[in-house]
Amino acid sequence: MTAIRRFIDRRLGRGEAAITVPILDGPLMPNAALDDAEVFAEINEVDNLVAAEKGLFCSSGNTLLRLRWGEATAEEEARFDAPISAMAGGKGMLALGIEGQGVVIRGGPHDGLCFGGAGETGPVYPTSLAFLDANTVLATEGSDRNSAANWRRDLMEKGRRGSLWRLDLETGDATRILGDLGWASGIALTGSQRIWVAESWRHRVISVDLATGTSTPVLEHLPAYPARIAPAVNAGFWLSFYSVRNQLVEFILREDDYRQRMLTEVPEPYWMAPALASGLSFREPMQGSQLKQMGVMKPYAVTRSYGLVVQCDPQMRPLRSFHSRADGVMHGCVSVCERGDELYVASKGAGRLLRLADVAREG
Amino acid sequence: MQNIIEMQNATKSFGGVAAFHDVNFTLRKGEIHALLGENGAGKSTLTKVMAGVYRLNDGKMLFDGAEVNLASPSEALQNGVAMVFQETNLVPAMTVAQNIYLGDEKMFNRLRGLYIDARQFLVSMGFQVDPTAQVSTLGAAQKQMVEIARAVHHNARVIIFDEPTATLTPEEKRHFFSLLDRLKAQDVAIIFISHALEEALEVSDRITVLRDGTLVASGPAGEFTRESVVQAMVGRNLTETLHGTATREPRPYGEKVLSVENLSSAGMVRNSSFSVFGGQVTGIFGLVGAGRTEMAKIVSGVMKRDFMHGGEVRLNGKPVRYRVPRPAMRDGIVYVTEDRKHDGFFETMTVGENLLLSELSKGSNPITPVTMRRVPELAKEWGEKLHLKSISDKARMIELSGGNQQKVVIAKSLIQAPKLIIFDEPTRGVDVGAIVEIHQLIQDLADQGLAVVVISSYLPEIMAVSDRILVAKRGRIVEEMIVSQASEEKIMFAAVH
Repeated sequence: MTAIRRFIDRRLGRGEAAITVPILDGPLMPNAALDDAEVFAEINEVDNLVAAEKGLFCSSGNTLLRLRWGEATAEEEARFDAPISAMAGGKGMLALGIEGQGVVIRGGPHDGLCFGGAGETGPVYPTSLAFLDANTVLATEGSDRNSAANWRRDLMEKGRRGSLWRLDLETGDATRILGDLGWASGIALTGSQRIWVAESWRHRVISVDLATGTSTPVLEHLPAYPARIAPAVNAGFWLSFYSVRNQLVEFILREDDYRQRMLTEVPEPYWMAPALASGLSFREPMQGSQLKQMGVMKPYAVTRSYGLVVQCDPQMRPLRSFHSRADGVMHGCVSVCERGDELYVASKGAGRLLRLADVAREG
Repeated sequence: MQNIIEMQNATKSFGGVAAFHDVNFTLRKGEIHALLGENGAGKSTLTKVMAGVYRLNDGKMLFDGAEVNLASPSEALQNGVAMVFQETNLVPAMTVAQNIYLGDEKMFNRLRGLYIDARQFLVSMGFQVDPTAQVSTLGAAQKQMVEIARAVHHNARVIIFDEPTATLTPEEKRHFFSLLDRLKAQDVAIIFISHALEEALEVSDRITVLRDGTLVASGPAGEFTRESVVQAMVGRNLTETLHGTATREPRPYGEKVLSVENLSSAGMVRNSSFSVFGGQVTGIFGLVGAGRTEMAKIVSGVMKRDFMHGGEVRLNGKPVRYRVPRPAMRDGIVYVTEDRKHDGFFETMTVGENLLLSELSKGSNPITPVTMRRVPELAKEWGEKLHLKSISDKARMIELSGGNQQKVVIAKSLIQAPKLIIFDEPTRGVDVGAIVEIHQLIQDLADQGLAVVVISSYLPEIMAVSDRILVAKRGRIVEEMIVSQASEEKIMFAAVH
């Protein structure tokens, strides 16, 4: 029956074959808040923000950087062989996800401990990390085949190889809690046995019971691809996104033959796929956000890159959002971090660290 | 200026109940005379006497100085009195041109010539209506235009308009008012019944106010203000609660109840997307033809979306596709129609009987089946809840005022215990007193956590009731605004450009 239903849906453009996309409205109503925000620092490929006593840690490619509080100058803390793809701080330690090398612990009693490296079990391409307690780290892996930097390829391959891991720092054991996720990209704690995990390619955030490994969706059918989740001061969460969805990409995801040819024949920067930044080359598909010419909407000029950060309440319901629209530049905001009344946003696409003042108080 | 119609001590009653009594009214040649009052004040009955629909029980009517007793609308028309009724009297199966020329046909009619004449005539009045279109396919506003065109075509000396602008968009209203000016210049006397007080104050030369069948005020329009008209109409001060005067903070977003994605339907709705949240009033504004009603009808199962690639409708995150309204109602979606006389109730049934039908549609329970014994209970229960004022328990719907009819239609929807309620033009043809009550009801429903959608062509109403405002244009939602950031100019700009 499922096959028949799928066949009919595909012919009629319904169900899973529908190329519809939810609209950005209500609490997700577009604005230019990210473009209007203060540019705190310019750091190439800035990502993985972590607030600590010593300052704001972030990554830039292979380099771990630190910005002292109130200062916009970044100091190099460490350099690795591969790009840093995830980071979490807590209990005097830093957990770092290194592309292809797994998770490395820096500082504290478990300094130097590794998971997922050569011959070890654990996430090889971590996308996000969180300290559950002083001896446990939770990690997500977008895919065991594509690295975190290759998220576009995984999306266009319709990847479902993401997983959630528990890393025991005392015993060195790595346990896979959940698999077959459509690019697990973000993780957040709720103070109980349930945690939130962002599943990007299914456009949702799921709640996972750590004891049983069962999951239920809590925020579904998002109009964008969710990335990392950061805790908010008011017990809620900040949800960041790779880019927004659009009907053209949904259509391409349905057209397998076309997609396969695009993946093999077209260089990746020129794919018709979401991006962290656009307008870098004239060969790219046009970033127009529904460009209209002679009264006709040009379907090829959809929004490819976008900046979006959403504040959610403790139940993961969206409250308000900050945007950089198609005509803005602060795109690819995949990491956020709140400290006091200020919100720091890493625009990886623009290579800028943004600071939004008094955000927590206004919320 | 010479009087063309004069009513002296006029009284009209039905079954011993006076619709109006002892009314002295004059209409002068070449003037626009606004006749105002709450629903049930006697305005329509008074004008129907002038148009030959009813005869007076007492008093007399003078036409051009001579006493007349018009026996029928056709006799009135022969005397030059035409009336454009609130509920249109067009023949649905005939074309626009055939309706305009109805009763004025030649021995041999050439249809093509008729259409050319009708097109020129409609264009001269600024109405964008296809003369070859069948009337049954037209929307409420276009039907109203045809009705007006028909009255003007008969070279009437007196034209009575009963709520002519209720279904017109702002642009069409402007055309209509310039048409009134042209008729006035030709010495045609116009009676203009409206609930839109600003319009009456703006376009009329004189104003007469009726309350409970009695003439309470009459004089030049310049002597009246909005407040004094309202005071005369209702006998109490409502200015604090009427359109646009109330200021409040918009409610926060609740759960997303409805998500409409890339909805398409037969060219009327084109790739339209919007969301509706619980505990909020979402207002949808747009000009006629913007596709607002069609979107609401598709959501509530009254209309179907395109069979292929028609988009998605999600109720509480779950995709739904209704072919008829009943499953939509069971899922908690109700639609309060814009055309209550046609789609809202059975006019020859009582209030209780209409409410019983709504209860029956919820589905039968074999243990406690719904019987006719529920009729008086329902009428009493909802009569008290919604402050219904019917003449008697056995009064038929047709005998109720527009405001009370609308309350019954709303009660029929509320019986379904909805989660999402869509009001389409909730105060069209409703008196000011009932408008306040309906607006309060809408706010109460949102406060109870329901997702409420209000579709209206009247900007002050949208501004007054909504927490967030969506603007529709040519079959899609083109703009979203929080009410605190919205203004009438911004909304209209989005609707037009």
